[in-house]
Formats: sequence, structure tokens, C-alpha cells
Amino acid sequence: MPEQADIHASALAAVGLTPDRVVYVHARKPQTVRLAMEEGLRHRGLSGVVVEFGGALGRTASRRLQLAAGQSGVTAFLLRRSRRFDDPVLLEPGAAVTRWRVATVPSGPPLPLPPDTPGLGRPRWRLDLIRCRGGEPHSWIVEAFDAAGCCGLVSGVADRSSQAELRRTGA
Amino acid sequence: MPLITAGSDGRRMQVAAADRAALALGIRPGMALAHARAMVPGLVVEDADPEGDSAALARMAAWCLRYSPLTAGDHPDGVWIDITGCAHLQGGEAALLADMLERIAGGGTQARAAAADTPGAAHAVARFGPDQAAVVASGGHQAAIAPLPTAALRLPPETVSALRRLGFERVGQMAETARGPLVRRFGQQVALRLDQASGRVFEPIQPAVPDGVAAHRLAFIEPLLTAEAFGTVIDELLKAVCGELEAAGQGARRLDLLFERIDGSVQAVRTGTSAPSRDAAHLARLLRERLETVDPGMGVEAMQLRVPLAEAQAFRQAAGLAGGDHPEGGGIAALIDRLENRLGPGSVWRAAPVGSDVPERSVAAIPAAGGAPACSWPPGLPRPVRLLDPPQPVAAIALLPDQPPVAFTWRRKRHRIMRADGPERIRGEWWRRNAEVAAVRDYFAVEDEEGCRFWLFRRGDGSDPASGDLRWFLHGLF
Repeated sequence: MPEQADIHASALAAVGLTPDRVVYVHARKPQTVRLAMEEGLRHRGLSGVVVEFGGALGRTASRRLQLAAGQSGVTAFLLRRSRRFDDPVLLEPGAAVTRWRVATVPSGPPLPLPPDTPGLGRPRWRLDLIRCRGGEPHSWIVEAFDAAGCCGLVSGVADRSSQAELRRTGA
Repeated sequence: MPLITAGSDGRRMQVAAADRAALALGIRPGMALAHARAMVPGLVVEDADPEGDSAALARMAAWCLRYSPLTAGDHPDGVWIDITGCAHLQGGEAALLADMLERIAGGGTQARAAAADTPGAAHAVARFGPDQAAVVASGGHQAAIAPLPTAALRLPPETVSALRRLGFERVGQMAETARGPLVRRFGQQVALRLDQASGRVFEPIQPAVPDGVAAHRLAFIEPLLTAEAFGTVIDELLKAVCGELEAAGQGARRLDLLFERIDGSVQAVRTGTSAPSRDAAHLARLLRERLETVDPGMGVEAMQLRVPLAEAQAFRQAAGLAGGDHPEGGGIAALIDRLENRLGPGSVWRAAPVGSDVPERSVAAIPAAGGAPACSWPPGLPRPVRLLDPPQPVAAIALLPDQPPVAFTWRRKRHRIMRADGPERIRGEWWRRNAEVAAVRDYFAVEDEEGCRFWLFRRGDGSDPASGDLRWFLHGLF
């Protein structure tokens, strides 16, 4: 459910979300976004609902969504995007089980003897688990999945990255 | 060759209708046939067929059900359509009229259309207004009919000519005159038509019932007012209609719920499904969500449910063993229906690949319920998750044409480029637009010092000025 319709389907297809697996919903008003999200969460046939939501969600709505997700077992991903790093919307309390912050980090070191502008490596992100019910906050730096579909956990030492599959159990 | 139809009025043969060529030669309906034949030698005369005309008008009214659940033939040459609450489905009143006229013209019939607050005003503007399709703004119907001739008020011809003798040429003049003398001289009908056109007297449309449609009607002893009561009635109606559909092996694609109010008017709610359905619980949910748009007025004395569009639906076992893996509330089609019902048409879609290398053309939105497209995009090409449409111009510095830029500025922020892949050259599609014959875009995927990845392109290949002006654009974010 993209809030602005700028999502590019061919990029999603490249990471496995092929057109037959995704239904896009465009809701214009915040209350209809909430409504559509809840409607999707109550439907057991979905594997997940991804919603991009700009404004303040509100504690009650957050609680409702958490309940709906809990009853049906459908995972909800609520993306909050802001141009500013310190946007208060990003820190709004909610009823979600986990809350993550995703930031980009420069990708890994180039091959030996690179040209003036080295090529792109696998993208890397810094994942901060800010809040987790019954868990400790933690931070990781991960690398995008490889051909086998595994996310790489980047360790401090460049050539000793441990492979670990990362699962997001957010709701 | 001028063509007329002729019928008998009991005493003599007279012209019933005349085509445009005959009208241009001075032949008017109501003229004696002998007179017309004398005026135009070689006139083609056909027998008038009033029953056939009414049947054709009824078919026309039934066809117009595609625009609204409330349509009725208006003898001899019109169709009433109550588009209250339906115009947005076609993109507004003007778009609805344009679409309707285009389709009717495609069938070889000339038509005029008008939308107004009252049936009387729409009737007058459609027949006597200056435009072929006219939308009278809400509240502007009095002003719109004022300059029209008195014949626009649906008065008998003798009344119109008598009015003209007294100096009444326009509807506006009549509206300004005292009512008493008008009514004494011409009877109650003149005042009634004036009031109907201005909306002081409500004029109900008696909707036409098309044949071959699953329908059920429930009348109540006491008028109903509350949403709970309507919900109960919806359940009862659906039970009956779904039984009919099941017997016919069909599923509903469109549902019309009509509320017959005690003041004689009819309110309608229309809802649709993306796949044929006869699941009463699902359909009831769709209809209940639309109840808030209904104004029950002083009360509703009868409700009617119709299925104007039904398609074959295969029989399927509804439930198997307890704890089966059927998702609650039907499959994904039910969810799509509910979302589309709530958010409006066009808000739920799937992405389908299009055979085009130009990124913004490579995706098409297709109806979500139509099933999944088979093909996919070519793998292995870097494509951003967010595509900016249109591409945003950025200020970029590049040393050589075939090198990625060193830095660029977007939204007043300067990004220094540390890593880059490219160029990927995409040529314009000359078969679409002339402007793209020589156009070239060189795409670079770049990463700045914070790790943010962008998709930039430069218009032009750097050697041929015709291929582009070498300006840089940001087209997407990874």
C-alpha cells in the first residue's frame, strides 16, 4: 500500500515479490489507509501487509492493528519515511511488537586495484532494533542477500562475515 | 433522400417523424401527409411503428443501466437517468455524459444529454440548450432554463402557442409572472411544470426493470428508518437473490439496492464485485458499507435488490473438514472487493510488465482480480524501488561523458559519489513519439558517502547533440 504511488514493481520483482504475489492498494486519506490496512490484516490469506504511512498513527489505531494482526497471524509492516532524521512521527509510540530503524551504510571495500570510481557492491544497511517486546535492543550491520537468498551479517573484520539469516518478526 | 414516417390520427394520415433532410425541406411532424408529399416530390414514406418505438426506448433505458441503477424511458424520445451518486464512477458528470454520447453515437444514433438538479431542468436543457452535452451546475438550473423557449416545459403544443400569443416566449418570463392568472387561463399543468423544473415540486422517476435479472422486493408494513433495520432486510433480500443465482449457476458482478421512500422517490446503492459471487455474507458486507450514503427521508416502505450483471460461476464445495485452510471471508477476491468498495474504483491494482525499456513505461496497472500476469521483467538489471515520475532535474558534475558524475545536488543537498555502476544506455522509443527518435538516456546507479543509492541518468550520449542536452536527472532511489 504505497502512500505515494512511486513504488517500482520491477524492482520488487527482482527481490522475489513478483507481480502475481503483490496486490497494490492506494488509499488517499489517513483514515482510509488505516481502514485498508486493518481489512488486509483480518484476511488470513495474506502473508503480509506492508503499509507506508506518513502522518501520526495514534495509539488507538496502532493497538487495533496489533490486535488484528495478532488474531489473524498476518504480519504487518508499517513503514515510516521522513525526510528529516529527527521527525517526531518516527518516534511516535505504538503497540507494535518490534520497531526497527533502517539506515544505509557505505557498501563494502572494493576489489583490489579499483578504478577511480569503484563499482557498487552489495548494499549494506544498519538495522537498529529500537524496541522489542521481551527482548533487548540491538544493532546490526547487514548486507543484502546473495544468490542463495541469505542476508549477510557484516562483522567488524572485512573478510570474516558470518552468514546468518535474519528474520523480521515485526508486527 | 428525405425520409418520413407516417401514421393515422383517426381522421387523416399525418407525418409522425421526419429525418434531418426532410426537416430541412420544411416538413414538420403533425403535418398532413398529402401536404408533405406535395411539398417534396420523391419523399420516402414509411409506416410509423409506435409499439416498436416504445420497445426500442425501453431497450435504450435498459442499456443506460450501465451508468446508474435508476433509468426510465421518457416517451417518445428520451431516457431519464438518475445519476445521483454514480457520476464519480465515470470520472464526473461531464465525463459520464461524454462517454454516454460517444457510445450512443457509435451505435449510429444521435443524442443530446444534460445533467441538472431536477428532471424538468435536465429535460429542458437537453432538448433546447445550446450544447450537445451540458452539465448544469448545482443550484444553477433556474438560470439555465430561464432563456429557453416555453416549449421546453413539456407543455402541450396548443398551450405553447397560446402562451406565445400572450407574449410569453421564454421560461424566465413565465417564472416572473404572477401564478394566479396563468393557472386560471391555462390550467394547473403550467404551474406544475414550472415547479417541477425549479425543484419546488418533487418529480419521481419510475425506474425501468430490465428483463432476465435476478431481483427480489420486500415491502414493509411500517416504513423503516434505521441502518440496523436496513441491514436485516439486506440479509433477507440476499438470501432470496443468492438462491436464484445459485439455481441459475451464476454469481453477481453488480448489485443494485433500491430504497422506495414513502414520498415516492427511489434511492439507489450500487456496488460491484471483482469476481462473480453468490456468497450472501460477503455481498451483505459490501452493501452494508454503502448504507451511510442513503437518505431514508421520512421512511422507506419497500426495498428491492437487483443483480443487473451476473456471470457464470462454477459450483464449489464451500467448506470441507473442520479446520480447513479456507481463509475467512472468502479468497483474495473478497478482500479486493471490500477494499475497492471502500476506496473507490481503481485504487486496488496489480502491476503487470510491459514490453518497454523505458522504466516509467515498463509497468502497467491492471485490475487486481483479473489474475496474475504470466511474464515478468528481465532479471539482472538494476532498477530502483522508488521511481520518481517525472524524473527530477539535478545539478551534477561529470568529468567525461562516459563516466559517472563526481557529485550531484538534489533538494539542496550535495551528494558526493563514491561508487557507481554504469552506464546503461536506454534509447527512446521512436515508434511512440517523434521526439524520441534520437533520444538517448545513459543511466548510472551510484552510491554516495552515506551509502544512499540513487539512479541517475544523463540525457544524451555526449557526442550527438540530437540525442539530448546532457542534463542530469534523478530517476529513482534504491
